[in-house]
Amino acid sequence: MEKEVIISARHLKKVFGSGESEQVVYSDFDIDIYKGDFTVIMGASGAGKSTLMYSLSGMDKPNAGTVTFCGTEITGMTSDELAVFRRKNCGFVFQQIYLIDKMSLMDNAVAAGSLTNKNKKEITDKANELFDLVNIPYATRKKMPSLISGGEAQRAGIVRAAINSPAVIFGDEPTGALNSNNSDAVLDVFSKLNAGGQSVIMVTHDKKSALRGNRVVYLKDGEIFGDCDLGTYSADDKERTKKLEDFLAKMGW
Amino acid sequence: MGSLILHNLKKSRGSFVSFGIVMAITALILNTALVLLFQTSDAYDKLFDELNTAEISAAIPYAMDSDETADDIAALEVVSKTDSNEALFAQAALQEFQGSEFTMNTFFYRLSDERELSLHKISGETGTDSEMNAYIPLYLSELGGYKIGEPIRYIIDGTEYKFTVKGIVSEMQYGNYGTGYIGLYLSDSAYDKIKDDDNFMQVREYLIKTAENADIASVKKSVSKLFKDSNIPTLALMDSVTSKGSRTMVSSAIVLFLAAFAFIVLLVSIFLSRFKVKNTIDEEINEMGVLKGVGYTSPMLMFSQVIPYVIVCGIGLIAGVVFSYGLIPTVAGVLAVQSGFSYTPVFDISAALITVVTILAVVFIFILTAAGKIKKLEPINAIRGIDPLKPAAKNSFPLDTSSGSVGFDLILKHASESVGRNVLLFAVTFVLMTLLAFTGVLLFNVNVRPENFLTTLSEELPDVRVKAESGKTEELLSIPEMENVKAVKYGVFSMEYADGNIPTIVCEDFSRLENNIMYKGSHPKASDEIAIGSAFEEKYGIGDKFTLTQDGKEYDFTVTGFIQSVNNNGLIAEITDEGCTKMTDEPLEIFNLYLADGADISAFVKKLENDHSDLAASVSNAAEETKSMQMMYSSLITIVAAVLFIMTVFIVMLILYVILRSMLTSMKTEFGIYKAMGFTSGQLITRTVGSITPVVFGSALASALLGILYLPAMFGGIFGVLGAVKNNFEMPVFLLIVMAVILTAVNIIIGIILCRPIKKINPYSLIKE
Repeated sequence: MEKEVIISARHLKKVFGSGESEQVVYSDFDIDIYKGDFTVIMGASGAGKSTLMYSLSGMDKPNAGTVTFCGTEITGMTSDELAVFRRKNCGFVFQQIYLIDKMSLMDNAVAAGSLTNKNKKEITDKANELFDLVNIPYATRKKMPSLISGGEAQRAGIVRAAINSPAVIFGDEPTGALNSNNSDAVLDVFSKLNAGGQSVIMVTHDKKSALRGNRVVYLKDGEIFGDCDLGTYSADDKERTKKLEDFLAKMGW
Repeated sequence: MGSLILHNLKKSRGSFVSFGIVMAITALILNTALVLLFQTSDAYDKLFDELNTAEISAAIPYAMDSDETADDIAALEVVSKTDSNEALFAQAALQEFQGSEFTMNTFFYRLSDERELSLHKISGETGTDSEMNAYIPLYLSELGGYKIGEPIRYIIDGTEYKFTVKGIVSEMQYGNYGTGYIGLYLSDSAYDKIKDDDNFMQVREYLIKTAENADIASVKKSVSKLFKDSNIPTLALMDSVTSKGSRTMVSSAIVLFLAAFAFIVLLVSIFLSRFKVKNTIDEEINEMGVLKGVGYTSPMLMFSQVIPYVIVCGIGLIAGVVFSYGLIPTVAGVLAVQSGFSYTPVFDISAALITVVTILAVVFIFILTAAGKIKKLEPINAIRGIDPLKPAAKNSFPLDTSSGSVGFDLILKHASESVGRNVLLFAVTFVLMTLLAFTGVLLFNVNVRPENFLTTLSEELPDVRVKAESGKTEELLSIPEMENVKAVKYGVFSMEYADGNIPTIVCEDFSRLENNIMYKGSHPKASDEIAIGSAFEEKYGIGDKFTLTQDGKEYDFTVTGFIQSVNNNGLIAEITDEGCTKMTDEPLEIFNLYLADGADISAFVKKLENDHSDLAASVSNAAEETKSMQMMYSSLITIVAAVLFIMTVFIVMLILYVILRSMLTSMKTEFGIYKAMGFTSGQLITRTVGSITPVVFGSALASALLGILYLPAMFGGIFGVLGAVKNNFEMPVFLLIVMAVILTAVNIIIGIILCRPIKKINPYSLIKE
């Protein structure tokens, strides 16, 4: 069965700086992202992974080209139109987590949930459901971000990203600042969400994180240097691990 | 450390510019107040000396004068020099004084008379000459609006006297009508023409120069006693201290007003700078931890925060002092209208030093104590963002359990986040609302309810004042036009008391008057009772004896109460009609008339003048006269209040700018996160402005409502300086609430404008940073 394209980018161009200091990140770049996929974007530092992800999500505007997201072309939207678009379609999980430190974990989730639903009980129920999913106990949900571990904070970040059931959850190196145990817990949450049909795009440097995806796109010199179909994730699947290692070796990783 | 200071200065350019502007405003106002305080008095004394003005002047009927009188005066102790001249005296109704009639006790002098004391200076003399040339004092020219070359008309006992203004005269004897007398200097031909007219009383004026450091009050008393002992009535007995007091009265009140305003702005600036320093430390706690880690000491870091403020404060203060010299001549010019003497203010080093050094020292101390927090930062904790003095964040208004919508709860949550910010906003709004309430209520009572202002500064305010022809009082009061008109026998006469002359109100029944100027005790009812002015309060008490003299005979009165009179600096008295008759044997035939509401006063006056001239010896539109006389105060106060009102709004803008800029800087990341979540710029702007609005409105409302309690005390203090112990000002609650709402609305509008940079915050900058 043919996969449904959820994000389609055509002739994208992204440039930083101008004049002599101009740096072209990518040019005439095309990519399609499919619904229900866990797409991993990899590449060396400076390859433009995060830049691409934020262009696809409407968080950043490309200099040229178009991005069609869920059938809507978002490249021409104003900042506020993009904000409204993101409420329903995008969830973000950042490496630095970026929970609002003056709010409890629950309030972080409810504040985001209130953007698409005015029914406070429904928002709270949904948030509790997600907190259960990410294994954050009830008492911890009421705590302030400064009083919990990095892993708990990142899982709370995922709850906030998922509260509006977005079309795609974007993860920008979500385990980059976490230790191994916390990383696994966070990745497990991503896998669980993806298993439930949630589309995920994740930028990572980490091979273990990349294994969670079913598709790995490798960027080099502003182009898609390699695109690997890993198949559905399952723990301790040595064949998948070997396939990824071979792919990355071929990419010069 | 120099580069660190420069870095701190550059980083918060906008906030420092605002702080500098607020400091410049403070210096501008304070320096203006100080220069006026220092120089007005000096300039007055300088001109007083330059014109060799007599400390005491006394006018007596020419017919009662003798060589002995002159000798007796010259022989008085501590009198160093005496001079005398001839003058004509009349109660002259000046026409077209600011468009209406104004009756003044006027001395008409011959300009060419040789004088050794109380000289005068002439300015703006024209080339054209007429037979009736007059040189008028600056007061009449500036306030009355009489220009050189134009006519000036008087009506004295029904006869019109028309002069042509030939020049302006500066003199320090009378100068303005605050003294109760005014002088007009005539050409020889003009003086000779009126000299023998029965409408004028020929007088001898004695000018007395006292020895240095002499007690002027006791010399004045000796002069008064001398006349009394010789049975010579005095028409006027003036001393330089009282005269100076009355002429610089408004100037003193305005200096007080400006100094109070400068103090409030300084207070606000200190609140603001302390907030900014504390906020900067909160924002840069990690950076400070790193700097401490690499070897910067606490004093180095403290001074890197404090010195930029000191530099900006110093520049702002110097700029304010410089700019104040653009304002001072204008203010001095406005004051010249009231005081009747003008001078050119010059640069005043002591005022500048007091302004700059005092404020700089105060700001330095307050900011240094705010920066003291840096001492308590441990490097490693600071790097981790741990502030030892900051309480752990509390999740106020939890969104999942609190009532109300999430949007509203988010505003409340945001509003409750920073206690320091809220305290600052509350304090600053409270203080500024106090200023707005003060100026607003003042403007209301001066412009919307001018009767409140007029009755505070004046005595009785009838519609019409009429003097009946001798013996025709009953007939006059029974004419058809007097139907529905309240008539009260009322007159003001100059009477002698121990220290000179005193305007004395005589009335048949004080309870029938409409403006109660009594602030302590009660009005006289019996013929031997008297109420006296506030100037006597230190010396006399209720129940004491107060003596008036008439034709050399003393009459004792019992003090029943105290009355106020701004126009006479509290030197006033009131007795009953019977009490007056006891002294003079002449019936009081002057009436105050109060017409029915809406009646045409001018038409009534015309009717009496045209149809009943046989019954009414003189009729005047008293309402118009009073308005004109008080206009000098109201226009001055309106200008000052309006300027302060505008400045206050401007300061609100600057303060909001600093607070909101601090908020935007410290919350940049948070706004980025919200934007990434899908919040629009509009939502974030609304929330940010909404978060300060409850505190601003609460504080403004509290200040406005408490204003009902504290404003009377403020007005009492300021108008007390002018001699109005009791004021009739209204404190309309509705106006105060409306002003609180307006202040809040201004805050919201300015807040929305200042929060526009939120639109430029890009969620992607989170990642880039």
